[in-house]
Amino acid sequence: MTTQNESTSAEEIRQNLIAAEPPRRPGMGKYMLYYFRHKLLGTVGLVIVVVMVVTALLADLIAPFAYQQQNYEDVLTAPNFTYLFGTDNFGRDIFSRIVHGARISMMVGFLSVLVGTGIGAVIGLISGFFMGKVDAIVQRLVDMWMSFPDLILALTIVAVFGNTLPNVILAIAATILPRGVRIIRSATIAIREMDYTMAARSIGASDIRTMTRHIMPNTVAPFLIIMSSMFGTAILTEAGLSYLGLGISEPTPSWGRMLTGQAAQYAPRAPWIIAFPGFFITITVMGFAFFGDALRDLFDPRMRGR
Amino acid sequence: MRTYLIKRLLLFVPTAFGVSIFIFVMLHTIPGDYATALLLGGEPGEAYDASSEQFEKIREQLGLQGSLPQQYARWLGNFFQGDFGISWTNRKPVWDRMAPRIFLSFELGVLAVGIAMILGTVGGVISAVRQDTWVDYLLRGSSMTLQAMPGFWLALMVIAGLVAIWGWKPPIEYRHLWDDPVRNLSVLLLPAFLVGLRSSAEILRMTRSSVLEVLREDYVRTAEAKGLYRSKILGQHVLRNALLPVTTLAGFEVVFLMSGQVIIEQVFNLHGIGKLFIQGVAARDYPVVQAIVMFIALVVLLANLVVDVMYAWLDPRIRYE
Repeated sequence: MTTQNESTSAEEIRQNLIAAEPPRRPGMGKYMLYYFRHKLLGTVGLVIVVVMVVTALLADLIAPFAYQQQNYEDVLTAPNFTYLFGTDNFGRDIFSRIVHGARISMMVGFLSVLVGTGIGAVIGLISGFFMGKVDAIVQRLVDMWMSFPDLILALTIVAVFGNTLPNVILAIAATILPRGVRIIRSATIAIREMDYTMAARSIGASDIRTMTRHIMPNTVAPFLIIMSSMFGTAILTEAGLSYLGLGISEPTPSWGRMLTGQAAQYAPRAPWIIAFPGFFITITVMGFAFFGDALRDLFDPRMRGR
Repeated sequence: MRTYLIKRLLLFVPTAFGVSIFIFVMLHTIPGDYATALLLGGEPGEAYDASSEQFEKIREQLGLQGSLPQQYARWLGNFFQGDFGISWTNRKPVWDRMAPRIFLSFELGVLAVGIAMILGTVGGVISAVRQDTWVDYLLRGSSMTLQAMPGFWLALMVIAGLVAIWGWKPPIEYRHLWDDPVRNLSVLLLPAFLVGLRSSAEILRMTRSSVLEVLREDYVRTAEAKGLYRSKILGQHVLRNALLPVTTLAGFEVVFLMSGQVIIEQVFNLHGIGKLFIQGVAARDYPVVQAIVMFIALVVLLANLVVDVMYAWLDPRIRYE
């Protein structure tokens, strides 16, 4: 008995292959639709993230007042239509200050996460790819690094280098770095056992080529996930530093700094002074956490529902 | 158990040394005589005569003479003899500034860890047993919110609320636990509760997933099949197995809690180690910062050691690995 396949010649197969349509990848829109439909919290998170980024970018257009403008007739006014979130003890509009504060939080969050996970990813990639002695040393160092509480590590770095913008970003990045190493290392170890990595090496691809062409592209998903989930941590650390008066020393208000100093004394009489900045920190951190969780579920089905 | 203990201890010593080198290097990346220049009132980078006798004297006082490895050896040697150096701000020994504060921070930390463990495990078990009911959603929702909240903001809001509604005044005077336990606890209980509450969120999450996992085990089904009361199954079969992995979390919790504690000491104006640390950072008083960071790192490493040993004692699988 001969089936169609057996009777087909090599030439015919080739022709069929050429004629066949390549499998179509679902478009971006379809992914988005799936995401919105199946990830309710993730969608909420994404909306928060987008709103915060837009607020940060368009702060000057959104804020009705300048952040340092003091309206002495309206000191400690409760929220109303002129001052959406009320005013503080200098008569400054809290809504405008929060809008401008989004700028600091987003910028510091984004840059520190990028630097921290970026450097961490490179170290993790090298550590996971070469294994052996390099890996053992790197992992011991990471263990040591992680025995410093986040805020204390960041404070120490600020103490040494001073609290300028780049130093604060570096200090927060330093707290994120070891986690980046861990995650990317384990991803690398999984990928280097894959057949395609093996195939690449067996046809003589160099270490560098295997790493950059075959392993790195496959660590993009964990990289994005850790970036998103670390963003919230970075914002919290920044807020802590600012609250302690050791954050960025710039005129622009940051959410953490709005809670420091006299704010606490006026809080029982005018709770809006401290309520809104803290609320926005919480909401933003939550937004990034939800978004990160949804991303993780989409990229890594094994972790679903954890 | 003995081999495990020895192995674990052997791991502790090099890690502690590594950490000390790490801290030393980090705090000595400041450009060479920056400190000296700062002390003389000059701005860093300003020209000054570094070879003069006066500078030599100051450098000696600050422990900055000799090469870096020499400085390191001297610092570490002194550290283990209880000599943490001289504070640059008030020229007093760092240890004298730390000593009266250690007990307060220690007590606060112990209270906070205890509260976090109790709230976290109880909440986690309830959340798992009542899975997918409103209790579960409420507990998970609030723990998620707590994790996203800055701890100091929560504290500020609670204080403001207490002051506004009941006219409560934060107690100012701190008394030692042995002298006046009521007074002492009235000062420390609220901050400890707030730090513990925030840290309990992670424990709740872990406990919940751990209990849910155990609830699906065959031996639990067997226990149900033979008609045991639900409370007995929970107490005897589920909890003992589910809470074991949660103990390992206590080690991480100590690390996490330290950050919260440093800030809460500031919020409640408690004169603990954390407050001294922040003062040191603000004044760039390096000997103080260096000593406290080293001290905290050692506490963290010790806490992890204790947790590991406890875990091995509780779970035989670990020690025979």
